[in-house]
Amino acid sequence: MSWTGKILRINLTDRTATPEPLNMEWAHLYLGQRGLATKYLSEEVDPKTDPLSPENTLYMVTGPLTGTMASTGGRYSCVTISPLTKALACSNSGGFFGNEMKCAGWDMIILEGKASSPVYISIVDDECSILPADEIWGKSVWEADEWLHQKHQDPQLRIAAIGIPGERGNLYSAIVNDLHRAAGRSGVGTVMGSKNVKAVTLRGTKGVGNIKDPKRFFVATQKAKDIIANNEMVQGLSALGTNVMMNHMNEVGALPARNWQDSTFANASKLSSEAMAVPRKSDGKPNLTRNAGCFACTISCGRISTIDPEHFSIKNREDIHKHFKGNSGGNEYEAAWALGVDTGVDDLDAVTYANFVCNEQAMDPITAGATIAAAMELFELGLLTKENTGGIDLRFGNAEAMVECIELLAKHEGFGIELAEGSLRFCTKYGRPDLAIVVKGQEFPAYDARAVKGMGLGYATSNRGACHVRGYTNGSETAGVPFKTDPLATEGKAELLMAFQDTTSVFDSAGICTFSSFAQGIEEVAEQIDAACEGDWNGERLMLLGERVWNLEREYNNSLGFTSADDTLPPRLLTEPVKEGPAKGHVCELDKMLPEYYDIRGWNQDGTLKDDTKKRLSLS
Amino acid sequence: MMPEITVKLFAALAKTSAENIGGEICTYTLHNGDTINSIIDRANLSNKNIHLAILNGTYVDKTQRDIKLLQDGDVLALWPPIVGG
Repeated sequence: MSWTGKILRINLTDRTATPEPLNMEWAHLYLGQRGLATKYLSEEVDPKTDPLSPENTLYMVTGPLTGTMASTGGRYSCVTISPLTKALACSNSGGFFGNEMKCAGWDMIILEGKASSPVYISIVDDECSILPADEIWGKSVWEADEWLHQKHQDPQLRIAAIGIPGERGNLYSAIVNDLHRAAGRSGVGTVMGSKNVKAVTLRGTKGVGNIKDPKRFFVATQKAKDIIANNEMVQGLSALGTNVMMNHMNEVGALPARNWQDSTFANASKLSSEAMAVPRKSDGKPNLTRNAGCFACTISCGRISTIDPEHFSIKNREDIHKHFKGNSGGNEYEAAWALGVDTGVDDLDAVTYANFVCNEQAMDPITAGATIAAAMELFELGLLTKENTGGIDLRFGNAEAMVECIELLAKHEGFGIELAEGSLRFCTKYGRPDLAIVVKGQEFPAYDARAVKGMGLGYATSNRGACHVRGYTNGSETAGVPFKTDPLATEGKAELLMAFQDTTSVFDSAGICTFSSFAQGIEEVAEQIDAACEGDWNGERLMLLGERVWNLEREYNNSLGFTSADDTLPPRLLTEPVKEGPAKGHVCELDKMLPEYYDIRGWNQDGTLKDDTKKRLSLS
Repeated sequence: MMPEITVKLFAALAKTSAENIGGEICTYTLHNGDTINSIIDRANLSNKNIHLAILNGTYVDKTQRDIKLLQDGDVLALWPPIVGG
């Protein structure tokens, strides 16, 4: 089976928890995680639902390989309607929360309704309790984590929680598990907070013992692990982490800086993986302490870092959590870019501190950094003044100002309340919505779409708004993985993107990490699923499933009111050419790629699915 | 003044130091007929470890590394296999 076949439906309004069987027909069509929960959402939640109303539902969901010995098999997803974008939200996370859910015997936990007062949910195998959270409401994730571990006297308890921003309506609040792994994007933590849920704690002792053919599964997982271990890209990821892209993207002229006014950043190297490994003057230690892996991961791309004890952000401060003076997670590339390059800040320790705050208080560092960057541009244009910022001199490159904004966001106070709306609402308020670098209301990650054009098409068509992990064509376009394509060309990008999007949909639905796709292919995944799960699985079936997941998401977004008009990019990327570097003079010619993309997707030119596409994908 | 090129080594190719963050940067005098491969040889690097050769910000295919002649002032950035996100 591999699926446990059981889901736990928790109604917070009634304070009931009801086990029910997993819909196996849907499991065979959508696998798990992203695909499966989107199917449940699309069947159960009315598209007219206000994302922050009790009628919205939050699905926390594993995949069939979660909790197994498959490499990277520790993933889980949070699926809901996003308060930031009003589109489908699907954010996944590693760490050890997903496998614990599976080991407790659940494929999925569904949170419905709204508790009348703050609660947390305690699940120990079959037992579920909805308990008061008054003592941790108003506390950070890190404080809540300590309190919960002490209260339950169980060091192996796995906890996913929100911080103060999620309680108070920051629209890009994350759900952080294991202190620094995050279901980070689209405000899934905001939805959890709107339900008065502070945390979900899990303890599973059952294991995952229902593998269909254990011997064959062992062989298939070992084969995949060998492929991953011997892959040079993955070896580099383990050694240097995701932030190895910092210097690379700068060198190829595709590192967006200062709210995308520039496409290179002179001091990018100061924020890079290479810089994280350099011993600093104060204590002779580097920023990077070690790497870290999630459950069953044989890559270990995660970074564990420390802040320079002499740095202004932590020196002589007694008001901060002890973890700020020790080790915590990061920097990952996207966070280092958003909090650093996009804000023009080249202070590695300031960026590390800001990233730690995002971990501590469960905020999406991409949207946080990008929103501050947009505010900085407004400030430099004179559209935002110190009167608005509460006295903060919000110029690009001002590390103290960036840190101050992050701290206000963390407390959800003062100017931070405005920043908590995300860049589109913020820039609209100050008269320049065009300066919000967003698609469908979600902020961009760290690849300039004018210089890496497949990424532009990917941002425009991503079902959760701008995103890099929905179709990472940059792998091909600038890093040559799995093969090299020209980043400045538009030809062939529609087909390339569709392949990446559908493949990623499979990985995101299987319970494994998309980073393993840098090494293992869909056939290797199919061998593992076929050995683990009931039914006959092969690569062809999985690719069709990936395409089905993508189209289901599209259909649901269409039902939420999104149209082809939302498949676009901010004016800056369509009309303002890159100023220097190899992409000098280029804009993103979305109009040359989008019609072809719709065509090969089997969509009408208004972005709706053709009837025969629905039929082919069993969506009608 | 002799013509020269700048070579930047990144990721596992770089020996980082406090004075040299973000990658090792070297300068080479340009000889007549120098190509990317000849510079890789002079830098005592193995071509099989070089996954990406970026010349002035633009990718150069492996088949061109022996053919494309380098010019005074060129900046050549070299990477082992990398990926991120």
